[in-house]
Amino acid sequence: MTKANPDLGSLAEKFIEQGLWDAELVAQLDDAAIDELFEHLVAHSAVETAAAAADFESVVLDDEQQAAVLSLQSYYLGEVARRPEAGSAEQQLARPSTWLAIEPAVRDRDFLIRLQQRRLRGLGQRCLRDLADLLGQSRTAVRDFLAGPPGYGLATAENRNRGKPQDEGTEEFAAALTRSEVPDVFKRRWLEDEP
Amino acid sequence: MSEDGSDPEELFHPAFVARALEWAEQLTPEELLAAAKIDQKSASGYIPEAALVRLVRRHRVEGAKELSDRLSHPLIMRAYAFAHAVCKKFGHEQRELVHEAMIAFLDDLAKNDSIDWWEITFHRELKNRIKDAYRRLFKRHRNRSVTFGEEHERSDGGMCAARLARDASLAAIAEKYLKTPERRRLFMLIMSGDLPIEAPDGSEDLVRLTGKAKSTLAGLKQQFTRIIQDALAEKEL
Repeated sequence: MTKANPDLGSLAEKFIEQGLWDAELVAQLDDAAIDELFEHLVAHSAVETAAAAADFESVVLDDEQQAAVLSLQSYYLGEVARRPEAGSAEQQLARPSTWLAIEPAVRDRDFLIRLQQRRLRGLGQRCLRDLADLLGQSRTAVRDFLAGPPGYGLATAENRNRGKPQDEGTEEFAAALTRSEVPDVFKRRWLEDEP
Repeated sequence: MSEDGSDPEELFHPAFVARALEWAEQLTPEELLAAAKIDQKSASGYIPEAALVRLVRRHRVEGAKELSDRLSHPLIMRAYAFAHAVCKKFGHEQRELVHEAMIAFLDDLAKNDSIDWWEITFHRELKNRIKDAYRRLFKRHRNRSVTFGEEHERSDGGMCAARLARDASLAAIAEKYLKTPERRRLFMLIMSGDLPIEAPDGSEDLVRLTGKAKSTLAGLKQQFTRIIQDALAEKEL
C-alpha cells in the first residue's frame, strides 16, 4: 500500500543531508513512488554536489547570459503586468480571511482577529511594517485600516478569545501581545518598538 | 540552512534579512539601487538576495513600481549568476536547468506579495527549483526509449492519412530549420497538436511528457509557429 502523498523530496533531502532514512515509509511506496524517490535522490545529490563545488565569487556573465537576464526580467515584468486586479487594499484588509492567512506565521488566531477588528491600540512602526510584509500590503494601507473605528467584523464567528478582556472595546497592543501566543521573535521586535 | 547558518522553520525574516531591511529603509532610491548592485557578500552595503526579494515586493505594493522594477534587475542578475554557477558542470543542459529554475523563481516573485521562503532561505529555494528542473530532465532521459504500441487497422475516413501528411510536412520543416534532435523532437510534439500544453486533469500533457515548464512550452510554440509561417511564406515565394 502506498502512503498518501508522502513528501519524497523531503525524504531524499533528509537522507542525503542527515543520513536519516524512513524505512517504514519507503516500504509502503509502490513502484512509481520508488521511481520518483530515486529521481529526487539523484537530483538532490547532483545539485548539492555541484553547489558545494561551485565558485560563486568568480561568476562573470558574458553577453549572451546578460541577454538571458534581460529576457528573464522582461518575463517577470510581463507576469506582474498580467496579474489580475485584487481589489483595493482596504477591501482586502477588511476581510478576516486576509488576516487569518498569516496565522501560520503569527500563530495566534484570536490576536489576529482583534487586529482585524481594530481593537488593539498603540502598534509601533516596526510592527506595522512586519504586518504589512506578512499581509503583502503597503504599510500605509495597514496603518490607515487599523486607524479606523473599532469593532469591524465583530460578528465573525472566530471572535472567541479565551483571555480577551470583557470590555467589548479596545485594548493596549502591548498587553494583548504579551499574553498572546505570537512567536517570541515578533514579541521582542514589537514590544521594544516605538508606537 | 539560511545564509546566516541558522535553519529557520518559521515564516518570518531571519535576523540578517531584518537587519538589511531596516538599513535599506534609511536609503534614498538611488542609494538603494547602488547597494542592490553590490554582489560581494563581504562588501560594505551588500543586501542579501532574500532582503532584495522583499524590497522588490514592498516597493511594488507601495506603488513605487519604477523603483521595484529597477531593483528586480540586480536581483535577477544575482539569482541567475548563482544558478549558473551551480549548474556549470551540467554541460549543455545547464542552460535549460537555469532557465526553468529562474522561471519558477520569477513566477513566485511576480505573483506573491507576502513573505515566503524566498525571503528566508533564498539560495536553498533556488537550489530546490534547480533540483525540480534536474529531476524532470533526468526523468526525460529515463523515458526517452519508451516505445509506443502498434497502430491497429481501422477505417477513419482518411484522418490517418491526413495526419501522416501533416506530420511529414512538420518533419520536413523541422529537419530544414531546426539544428538539434531535441529541438526537432519538441517541435513535433508541440506542433502536432496531439496533446495540450497543460491539462492537470487529463491523463497526459506536454508539461508532464517533456518535463518542461508551461511557460517554456508556450514560448517554444510561439517560436515554432513563426518558423512554420516563415517556411510557408518562403514556399509561396
